[in-house]
Amino acid sequence: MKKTYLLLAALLLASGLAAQNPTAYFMEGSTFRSQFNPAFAPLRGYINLPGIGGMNVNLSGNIALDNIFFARDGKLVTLLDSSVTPDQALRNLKTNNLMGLDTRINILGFGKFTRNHKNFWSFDVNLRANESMNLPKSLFEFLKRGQEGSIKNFGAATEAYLEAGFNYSFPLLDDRLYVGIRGKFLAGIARAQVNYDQFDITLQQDRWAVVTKGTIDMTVDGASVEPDPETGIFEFGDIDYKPRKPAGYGFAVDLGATYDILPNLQASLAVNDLGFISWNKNSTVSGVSTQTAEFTGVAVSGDGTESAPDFDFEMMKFTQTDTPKSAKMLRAAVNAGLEYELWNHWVGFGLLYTARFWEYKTMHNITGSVNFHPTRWVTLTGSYSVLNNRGSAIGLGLNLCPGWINFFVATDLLLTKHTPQWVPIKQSSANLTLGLGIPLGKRSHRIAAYIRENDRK
Amino acid sequence: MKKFFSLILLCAVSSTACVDLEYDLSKISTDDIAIGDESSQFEVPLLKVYIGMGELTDVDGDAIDAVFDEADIWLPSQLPDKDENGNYFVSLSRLADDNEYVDGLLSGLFNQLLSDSERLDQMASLLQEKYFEDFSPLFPGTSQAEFKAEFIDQYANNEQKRPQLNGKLEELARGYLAKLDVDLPPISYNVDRVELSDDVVDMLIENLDGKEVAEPKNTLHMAGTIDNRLPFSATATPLFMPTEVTFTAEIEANNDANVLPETRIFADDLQTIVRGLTIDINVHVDKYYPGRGFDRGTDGSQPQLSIILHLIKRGALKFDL
Repeated sequence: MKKTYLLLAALLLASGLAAQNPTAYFMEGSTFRSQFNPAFAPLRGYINLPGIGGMNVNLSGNIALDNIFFARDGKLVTLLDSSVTPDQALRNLKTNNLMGLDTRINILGFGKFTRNHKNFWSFDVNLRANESMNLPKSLFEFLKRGQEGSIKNFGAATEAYLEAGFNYSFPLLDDRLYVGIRGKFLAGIARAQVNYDQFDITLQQDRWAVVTKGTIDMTVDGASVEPDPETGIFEFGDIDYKPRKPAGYGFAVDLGATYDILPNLQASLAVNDLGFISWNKNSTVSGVSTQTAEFTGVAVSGDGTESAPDFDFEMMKFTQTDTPKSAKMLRAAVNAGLEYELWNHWVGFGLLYTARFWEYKTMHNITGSVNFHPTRWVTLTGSYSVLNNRGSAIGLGLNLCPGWINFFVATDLLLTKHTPQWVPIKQSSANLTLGLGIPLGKRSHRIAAYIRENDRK
Repeated sequence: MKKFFSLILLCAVSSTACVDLEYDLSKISTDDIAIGDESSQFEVPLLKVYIGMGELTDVDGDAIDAVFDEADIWLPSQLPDKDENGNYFVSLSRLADDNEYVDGLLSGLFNQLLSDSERLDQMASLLQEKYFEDFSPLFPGTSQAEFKAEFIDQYANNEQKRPQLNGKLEELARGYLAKLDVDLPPISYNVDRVELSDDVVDMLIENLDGKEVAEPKNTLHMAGTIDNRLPFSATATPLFMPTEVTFTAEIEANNDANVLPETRIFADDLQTIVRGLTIDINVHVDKYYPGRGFDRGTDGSQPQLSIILHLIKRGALKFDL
């Protein structure tokens, strides 16, 4: 068995970071905010510092690091370690253990208000990478208890692409409704997916057997594989690639709107990443694993013995198949918010629902937040999130946008127990949003409380 | 501004205070990954040895079924000993060593020859076919073709000659029955290799406790069953060369589930076995159940002894990441 694969799976499961950062959603003035809803705009035009203009790392799942790793005698061991009893290891695992990791790194970004200080456009280039994984509990029941059975529906998917987006938002209905749209051109860098629909293990006294039914797809420029000439089999490590250009192209849109129900009560709704990437067939390697291996013992008689292939639990062996042309949908997200402002926009209370459609499951998140705006260039946000009806997270955010810098940071890692590597231990999701830029151009006149006399030009 | 920096400082302190050094991901240990735990038990198929009738001979090379078919004729139907299930048997060791026991059997045989014409016919046929030369001095002028009828007639009707005949029968019977109590010639098989991958073998042996451990928890044993279709109980002793692994199993007659004793083996033993081995099987027949006959199957290919061996791994399976 390619045990490294399982380790990677365990590490990915445990890497515990989360998708769109709910703490940053109500962080007024942040240049990153329009990524949640294209109808949002910062308080002033800007140009991001290349590479660090806006970074968002976001993981959501239904298990936490301390479900995967256990401290034992000064060492950190995985749940597969012999010092972790099956009961301890399996106690907190779910039927399906899910993890989704979403990373967005802004490479280039700038935006500007038009002459009316309300219409806003921006352009940004982002590197996007996301992974999702499902490891069913039955897999760990086999590994911890040696319990035979049928393990279904486990796998991992990952994709990376560049997006170049143009965003435009504008007011309607006498400024009560803002509508925003971002059109995104996508250039696929790489994608890979391994799925097992069937992984049956039999561990009987007279028969050990393994039956696998899985698929692999990997797309990256220059991808090729040379299967073993005798068996026609290839393994993951046999795939060669020489990326020089994108392996696929696509298009997506973000659609959003905000609506002032009352002067101090604003509702917002956005659907992001509605689109697809059409991956190049010639850059894709596909394979199926339909292995049936069994060992019933060597039969010896006066006629001699019959030889058979060695029995192993090896599951990562594939037979190459033709690759169909594949257009893959992006993992769309829905953000719906409600914010009520008090005391001349000094403090606001927000409620946010987000849903992200991962490969294996849709992850839901509800967040309540309190947002302080002591002055128009400072926003402090505190949030509390309920994740998929399970864990919770307390987040803190800060946005500074005085006249010479845009800086924002939001995370739910500060107040939770975390590793020295900043991975939360008990929390099943984590978020970090960070960015640095330079304010430029006209200021926003969308928020009446922030309009100053000397801004009117 | 002072408040602002205080807040930043507070956040920094909070984040530092929340670091749990026990969960340092740079110190992950994957040295002791295992499937199952100390209470686990895994059973792995290993070998199936099928011994056919053609491989079972006595020391003279005669087929074992023919040897015991003849023994059926030399033994009376009424036997003195019963096993715990009420089945009559003869003890082969007593046939060789216990004259009184053999006297009793022969007395029963002679009585049966007088009262059971079918048995007398069988005996006469055997003598005609195989022992004519031994009896010809007692039947001068009788050809081998005429022998059977003459023997039956003389044995049944000639009381004066019968003791002579019984004397010869006793001589032949004692000799024949005594030589049943010997070890069958060893049956030998070569196995090129056992098709378990190195990974699977490593899983089984990597965490085994050594011989020096007083109360071992991670152990490996060889165990199994023997399906014995033969009408005799036996003692089988397989030797798995080049290892020194061996065990002795008591096998009941006509029993498809004789349980073999668990035999502890060690890492070197299994590594040697999977690379190829020679199995020498010594069989010593203990008790014979006359009259049951041999089940040769429809085409004569029916294995008479099927030794099904498996491994028992107690404790977790080692799993290298």
